[in-house]
Amino acid sequence: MAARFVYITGKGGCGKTHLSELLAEGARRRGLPVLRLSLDDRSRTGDSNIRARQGLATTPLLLDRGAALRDLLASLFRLGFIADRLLDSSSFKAVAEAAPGVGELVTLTWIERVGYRLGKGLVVIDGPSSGHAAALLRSPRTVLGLASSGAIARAARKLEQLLSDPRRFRSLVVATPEDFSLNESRLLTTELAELGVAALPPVLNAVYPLHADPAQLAWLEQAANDDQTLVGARWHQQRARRHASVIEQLESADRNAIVIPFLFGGNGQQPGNEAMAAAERLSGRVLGAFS
Amino acid sequence: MSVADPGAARPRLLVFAGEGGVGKTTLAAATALKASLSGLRVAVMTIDPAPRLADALGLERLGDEPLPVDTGEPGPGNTGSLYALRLDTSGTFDRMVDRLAGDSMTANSSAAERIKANPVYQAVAASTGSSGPYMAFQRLHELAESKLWDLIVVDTPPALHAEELLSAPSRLAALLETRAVALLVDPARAAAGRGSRLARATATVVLGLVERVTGAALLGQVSSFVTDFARMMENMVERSRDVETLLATPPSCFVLVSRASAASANATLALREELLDRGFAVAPIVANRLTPRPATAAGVPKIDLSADAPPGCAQLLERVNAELGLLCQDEAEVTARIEDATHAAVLRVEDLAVEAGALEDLALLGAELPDLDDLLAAAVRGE
Repeated sequence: MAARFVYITGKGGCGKTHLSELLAEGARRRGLPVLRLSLDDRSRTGDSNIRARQGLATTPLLLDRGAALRDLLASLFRLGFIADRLLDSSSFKAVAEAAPGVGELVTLTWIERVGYRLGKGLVVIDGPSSGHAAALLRSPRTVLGLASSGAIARAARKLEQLLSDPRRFRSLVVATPEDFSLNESRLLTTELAELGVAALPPVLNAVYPLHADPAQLAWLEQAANDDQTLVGARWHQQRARRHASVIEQLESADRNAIVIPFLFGGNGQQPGNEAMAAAERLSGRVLGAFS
Repeated sequence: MSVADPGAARPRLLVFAGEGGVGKTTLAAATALKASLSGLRVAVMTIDPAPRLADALGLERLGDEPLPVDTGEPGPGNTGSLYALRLDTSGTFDRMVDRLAGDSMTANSSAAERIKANPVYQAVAASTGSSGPYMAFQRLHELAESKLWDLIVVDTPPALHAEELLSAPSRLAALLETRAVALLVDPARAAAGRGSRLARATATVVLGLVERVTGAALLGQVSSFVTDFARMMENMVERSRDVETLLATPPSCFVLVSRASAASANATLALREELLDRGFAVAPIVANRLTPRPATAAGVPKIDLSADAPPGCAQLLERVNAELGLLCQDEAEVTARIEDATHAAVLRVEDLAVEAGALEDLALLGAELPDLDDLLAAAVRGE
């Protein structure tokens, strides 16, 4: 059986990387072979200590553009030395840079080949943020629009088939309740769907827990006490209430929405139990949606 | 006269940079508003295709042309004004092609039309990913040259790495210097002109291989695009260099915005190093969206609940404050680490709810930030 791919996207700061870690960890705990890919070639190495304490110590596979381009060329020519000869040529590099969609096509080819080598399993792609998510997936079309023949056109067609196969490739759109807009999320999902990419249920990430009942909330808001404890609690629970209304809004649009709680003590004071619970829930929902 | 000439009347430049989701756009808008209220003529430009800046300023939409923001009745004698715009990559590209084709002795307006009709040009111009950085420099040059502004505030997009933006002039220059351009412009002469038979044979083989990958049609279009475009690139490089100089010469600085999380701080510190290495000035780091409660070493303080508190409030306060305590402790650790690394106090900005389009919220946010002159004075410069 072939690998399944999850393409995670959403606005900057919505927690794509964290979500990719949770999903990879959850799937691994279910016994699936998992690869997590980062398309950001400058990895955020500094936070690995924290991740380790949360029990999420996985190193993503980083995109190496040079190697990926060589891979693509080698697959186009079936002869490695021709690829090497081309890569030595500055003219080829200039063409590769000037021709639109080629860089993106190289990235997609790399993703596809990584999945092919993994075989049965899950490839979790920590993708680009919303503005650039569609551009990457559109590249096979861009290339096909410019070149309808040649090896590159064949490669682009093959990628289009992968992207539009809902049993193999799905997008996962993430948002935080602080930065949530139903319209924007829909637009992004639609934009990806127009490229043939099927969506997984939307994810709402970093949701504050609402601890107060309505009477307590009313009291918190009215209490004429500017003690820091009260002020902080009011800020926290008002935020939680706003988040609750965002959940309602999202769930009325899509009953399958996945809610991931804000993990307090992210710097490591807390054992990773909450993170593990979130990982298991998330991976269960994602894998369930595939089959 | 070049906009980068010393002594030329020039605008101040502030570039907001940082990871996605840290609140750059809102802070850029707040800073621009504050400066305009203090009497400056301010343009705030976003490079982000998402409508965040328009939302923050309560504008329907933003375009390539600066739009006035209604900041209310100006005070007596206040000549300040605030305009906002969004980088339109392909519009700026088209204007540049028109202007340069018109200037050039070797090209003419039909060259401009030919370039704009080339499908490769259209795809390149429309792709914010590959053209964004170059066009950001071109647009900044236009704004600086216009002499309409005392201050230009730039809001960089989340997905665009500062490195990509800042290395644009050098990359462009490097491309210009490759033999590839000459090869595509006139393969036969380029190959024959310089050097050996081997070089000529190599060039022919390479082009043949490229054609096999791309198909003949695409190669032809790329070649014709590069042929027409090569003539303009020198001017494009020069203007980019001008802006680079402006950015590196006082009074300009980068304002780096970070969340008080370890990951965000690491990314911001790395970006700061990179900017300093390139010789730019960097203001103290803004720690944005801080939890509005000072971290107390003593943990949760005891308070007297009034008699009218509903049942369970004591436990509620304890639970919520325990969570907040964890958050504040994390934030304190992170800000301390930033201060250690930068030898400067972070600019602390609390997590204020800013309603879209509410300029009074933006003004409140602006009040938390230092005045423009203090901000510029606090900036440190790389060697």
